[in-house]
Amino acid sequence: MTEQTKVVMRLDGVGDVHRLDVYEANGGYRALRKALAEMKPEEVIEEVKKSGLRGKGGAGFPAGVKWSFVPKDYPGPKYLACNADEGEPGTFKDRWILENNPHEMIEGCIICAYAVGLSHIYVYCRGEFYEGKRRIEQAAQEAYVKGYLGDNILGSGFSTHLTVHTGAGSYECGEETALLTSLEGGRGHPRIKPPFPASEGAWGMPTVVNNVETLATVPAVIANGAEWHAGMGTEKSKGIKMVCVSGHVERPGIYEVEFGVPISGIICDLAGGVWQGRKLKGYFPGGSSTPVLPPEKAELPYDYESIAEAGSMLGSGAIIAFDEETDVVRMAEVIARFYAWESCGKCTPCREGTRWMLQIYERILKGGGRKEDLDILLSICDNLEFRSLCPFGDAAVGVVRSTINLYRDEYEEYIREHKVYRRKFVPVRH
Amino acid sequence: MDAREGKLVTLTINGKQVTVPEGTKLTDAAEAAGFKIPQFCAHRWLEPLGACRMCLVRIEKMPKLETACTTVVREGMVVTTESDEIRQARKAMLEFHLLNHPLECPVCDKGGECELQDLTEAHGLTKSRYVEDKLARPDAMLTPFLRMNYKRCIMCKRCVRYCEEVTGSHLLKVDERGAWSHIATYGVEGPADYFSGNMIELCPVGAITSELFRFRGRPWELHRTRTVCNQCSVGCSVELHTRQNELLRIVPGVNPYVDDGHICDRGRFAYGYANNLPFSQPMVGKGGERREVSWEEAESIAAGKITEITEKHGANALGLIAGSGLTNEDYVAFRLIAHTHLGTENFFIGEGLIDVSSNPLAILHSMFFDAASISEILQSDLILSVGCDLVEEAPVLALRIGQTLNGSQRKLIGLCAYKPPGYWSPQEHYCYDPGNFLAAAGEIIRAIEAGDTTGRYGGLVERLQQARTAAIIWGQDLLRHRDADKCLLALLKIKYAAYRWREANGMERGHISLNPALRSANATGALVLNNLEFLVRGQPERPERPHATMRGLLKKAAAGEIKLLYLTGINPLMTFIDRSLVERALDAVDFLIVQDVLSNEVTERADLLLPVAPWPCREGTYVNFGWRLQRLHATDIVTNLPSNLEVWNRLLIKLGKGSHSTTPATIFDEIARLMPPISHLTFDTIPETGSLLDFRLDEESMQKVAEEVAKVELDYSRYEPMEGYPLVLVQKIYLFRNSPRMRLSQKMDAVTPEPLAQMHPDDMSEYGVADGQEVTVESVNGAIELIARRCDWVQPGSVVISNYLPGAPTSSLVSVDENITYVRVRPLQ
Ligand SMILES: Cc1cc2nc3c(=O)[nH]c(=O)nc-3n(C[C@H](O)[C@H](O)[C@H](O)COP(=O)(O)O)c2cc1C
Ligand code: SF4
Ligand code: SF4
Ligand code: FES
Repeated sequence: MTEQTKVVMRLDGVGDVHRLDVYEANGGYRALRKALAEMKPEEVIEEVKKSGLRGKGGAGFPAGVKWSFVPKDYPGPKYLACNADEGEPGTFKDRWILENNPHEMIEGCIICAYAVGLSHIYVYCRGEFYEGKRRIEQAAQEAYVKGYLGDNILGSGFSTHLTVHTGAGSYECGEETALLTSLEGGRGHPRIKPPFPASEGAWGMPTVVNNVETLATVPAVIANGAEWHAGMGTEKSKGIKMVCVSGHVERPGIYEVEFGVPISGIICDLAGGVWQGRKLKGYFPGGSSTPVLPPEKAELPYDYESIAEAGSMLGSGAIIAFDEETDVVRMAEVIARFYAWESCGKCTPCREGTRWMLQIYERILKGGGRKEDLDILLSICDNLEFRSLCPFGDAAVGVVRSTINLYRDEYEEYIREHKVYRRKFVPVRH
Repeated sequence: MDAREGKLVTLTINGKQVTVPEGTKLTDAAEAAGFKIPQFCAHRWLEPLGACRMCLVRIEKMPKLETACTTVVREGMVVTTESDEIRQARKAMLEFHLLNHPLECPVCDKGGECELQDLTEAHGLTKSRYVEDKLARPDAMLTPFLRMNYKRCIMCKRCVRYCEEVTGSHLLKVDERGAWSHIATYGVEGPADYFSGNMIELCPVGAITSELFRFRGRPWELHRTRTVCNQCSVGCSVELHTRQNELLRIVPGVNPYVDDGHICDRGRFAYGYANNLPFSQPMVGKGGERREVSWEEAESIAAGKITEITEKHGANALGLIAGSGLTNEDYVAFRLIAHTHLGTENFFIGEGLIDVSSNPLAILHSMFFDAASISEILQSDLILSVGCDLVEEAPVLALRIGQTLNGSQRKLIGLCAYKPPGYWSPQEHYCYDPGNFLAAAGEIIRAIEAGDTTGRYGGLVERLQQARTAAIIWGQDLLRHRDADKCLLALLKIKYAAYRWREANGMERGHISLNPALRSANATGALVLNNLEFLVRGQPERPERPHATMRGLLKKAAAGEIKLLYLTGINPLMTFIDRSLVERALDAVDFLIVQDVLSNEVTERADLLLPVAPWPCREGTYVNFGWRLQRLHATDIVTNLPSNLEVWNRLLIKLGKGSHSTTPATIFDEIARLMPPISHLTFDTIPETGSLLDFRLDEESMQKVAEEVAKVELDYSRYEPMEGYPLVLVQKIYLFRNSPRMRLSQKMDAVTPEPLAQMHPDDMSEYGVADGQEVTVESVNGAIELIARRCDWVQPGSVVISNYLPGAPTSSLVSVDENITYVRVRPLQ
């Protein structure tokens, strides 16, 4: 029986945790007090490094290592950009934190700012998170009043400030360099790396970019110590992860688990299994960007390495399950449309390739598929993957290639029989 | 960059070792090794973008293919740019680029000079796998000159980045997202981009095209002639494209010492007049009596009048003026005819904005010996633009200054009677009280001497003291001042004050150069040839004969001393600061000969009009703003109009005074011998990029100049206000102004500013004037009617007016005998 290990969500169920007094009454801001009073900034970084905390935004990069890349004696200001743009289909964990436990994230931000010497925290909040934005702004207000933010925090001599900035509804703005450009007031286009944000980020200044969940885990790591965190999970994937389970399951929702639990345990024990007693046809292990895995691979341990070995990615931690009655071609088309519409348009292969793939899908679903279409789709995937400017292009091909490989017969049926998919909604853009 | 220069990096490209300077882009390193990497989005003017992905290469130890345009070389790098993998990747990227690109090369203006077409051919992409619907969007006009063909755009963003990174106009942006993203304007009113035309060549495909050239010709059937732009004193290199006796378009000629491949929209688009000439034959008589005559008859009339007047009143009753757009060879011939053949002292070359006579030595020295080349200006630690809206007065120079200052520690500072409006303005700006530059100069000089950086011009003073090299560019607000000569002397005093301060404070003296931003294409050449004796001697001595000045000449004409006035290529009613003096002169003379290309107020009033061939048919040389002598080349356009030289020669023959050469080459070779800086050149060996006219003196001679300047006494007091006329007139020049060239070219009305009286909001309420209201602007000398416009950039107490408005020239408000012009503004009932 797979159980949850609640860390970031440990106060789930306690009422009004978004309020400072409730958060404090439940141990809130103790980690910050500890860091400021007992630890030197380098020690905080060292602790986070030792804990093995990895970024929860998608790439799983070790947070402490990223922090240590920021130049120490940089002459200008340095910033933290908290990535709250959560836009990956299937992912809704950051939203929960923003709305229900904003202080945990703010506390994590302040600890990070203290450790790395960052003078300003920008929370880049997805434009549609109206409630989340309000909650973060209220929480920041309370934190200012209480002296957790602002000048000379808790008399420590350390100062940092926090600003909430909302995006305008673009998935690509979650990519860290696009986020920074958008934060600066520019069009949400990514930049070439290097330089990485840690050396040249917002307005050219060294900037740490971390996901909401990553930062919200930091207080627990500081409060309980690196060993505690490193003691959870697997050898390489240490700690816990909030997993968003959606799709054809009985109890979709967010479940916080230790790395290494079986994926089937998350789907069956926690999310109640595939709905209506149907069988699992396949699942996305880490959001719409990650290649689909077949049911045989549902027994894998839930950690970065095992999922990568199976040919996919843990990504942002969003398991999307689909049942045996799913029309896979149509499902792929929906996701292809997402990528075509969300491509920022900066680089050619992604801008052109995503729309081309969508057009082919639409034609197939209208009964106009041709024998060569599948080869063309696969070759677009080859031409796009690893050749686009940012990882969006790689993300866009995952579903296409994996579903053609796993469910080729369904594609062929559409093509052979000129099967027509009956649409309930007609997409507007062309 | 500077600090890193000198360090070298060695890397291996396709097995070949190359050594390049540190900081080199991989694309350039590959090119140096002999491997061309295809690129769409990268361009030498722009920051790398990495968007088109055409330049993908394999770099050892990197997991993915990398874009060469965004990669800086590293020691020991091992790179593959030619392999099956790379060829496949390029082909794939090309396929993506072509998905939404129409197959219309045969009707596309870019066909034949298109980077996409060339690469597609090179990669042998003949069949498309794309069977879906292409995206299409109707054409749009980005500016009156630029048509956007959306279907052809490959979204390389070169255009957007040009407006952001180079011109700073932010004219363009990208709208929408993904495959639907497209170039758009912000749709807000405001100053357009004066350099927008450069996006035509910058666009690698035929998306941005010239509305004027659209469907007019195919690149390969055009005859190309490289020459020098004649629209302002920057003197950009241009290429004239002609076919069947028609000038079809102008594109940049690329001169690294001048324009680096940029030209302004006026230089590029204001050419229609050349196909639309108003005169084809000489004309005699005024108004309704005017009739066309043969050249034979015209020459007889001119010769007859000249002989008659010389016999009756002496040779000094002949007055000759040549404008500042003629060639140096024209000027040489003109001097010879006026002085030697006709024997008059009353001749003048140029527009006469600066009166050299008051202190010839100091003034001429500063004009000739303190001037800097464009490259030197661009490298100066400090560039100071005084009394000048640089982008209007010397557009491409302004652009290049902006470009080189980008991200550097060096500075451009403005000092003017107003804060130049628009997107292109100095980083730091100081205003002096309108009309009172001399008072400001006095304050600056005192502050420099006292080491006081706390005053009104404190920042400027400090920068002048600290700059090792500084370039002062001074423009129309001082040049059109009656006391332009005193303004120049004041600038010289500022310069020497800074030198003295630096030396007194243990610093090396450094160098401050001074360049006037003269208006016309060959104004510098006019200056040279009006003062030839002085230059030929080349030593700091006083010229023996005080020069005829424009002012003196006009006054003599108005007083009836000059009976025949012969104007070549000049309309003093527009260019001279005092219109009423010119009116009186024109009224007083018995006979007016005007020799020009286009129609204007004086061609209308001429007793004898002698039309000459336009600029595309001209051979000769110009000297530009930065003292670069450049050669003009005539296109293949055949004209039956003569050149200036031919007209004068025929006249000489008619007068029985012999003849002179009509070939610019012969004349040039003669002047070249006289001028040390170019004595090694002949007409045919002038380099394509021109040759610097370097008149600079040795230290000892410069010392004498300094002494001379020190001797000059200047009065720095403010001018007294004038009862009843509370505002000071400030005249400003605009790039697009209502000149004959503009009037006769297409689309120019769309970009020419309206005749405006631009005022500070406080003054508008004070004098009861509303924005957009018709007003009269009145001085004791005259009145003009304009439309009032509220402008925050105008200083209170002044009204700023374009000095090129037909029907409302500011020169009718000005008297050459007053050193400041006060006006009042009243609403028209
Ligand atoms: C197309 C794209 C979208 C992304 N969206 C998000 C997002 O919404 N939230 C997020 O935290 N990271 C997102 N990322 C990952 C970020 O680029 C970055 O790696 C992350 O914010 C780093 O934080 P972490 O190290 O704490 O995970 C996205 C990446 C890509 C390529
Ligand atoms: S891959 Fe290219 S077009 Fe796609 S989102 Fe990234 S930069 Fe934009
Ligand atoms: S208009 Fe031309 S320069 Fe601009 S993005 Fe399109 S192809 Fe590039
Ligand atoms: S030229 Fe390198 S990406 Fe466009």
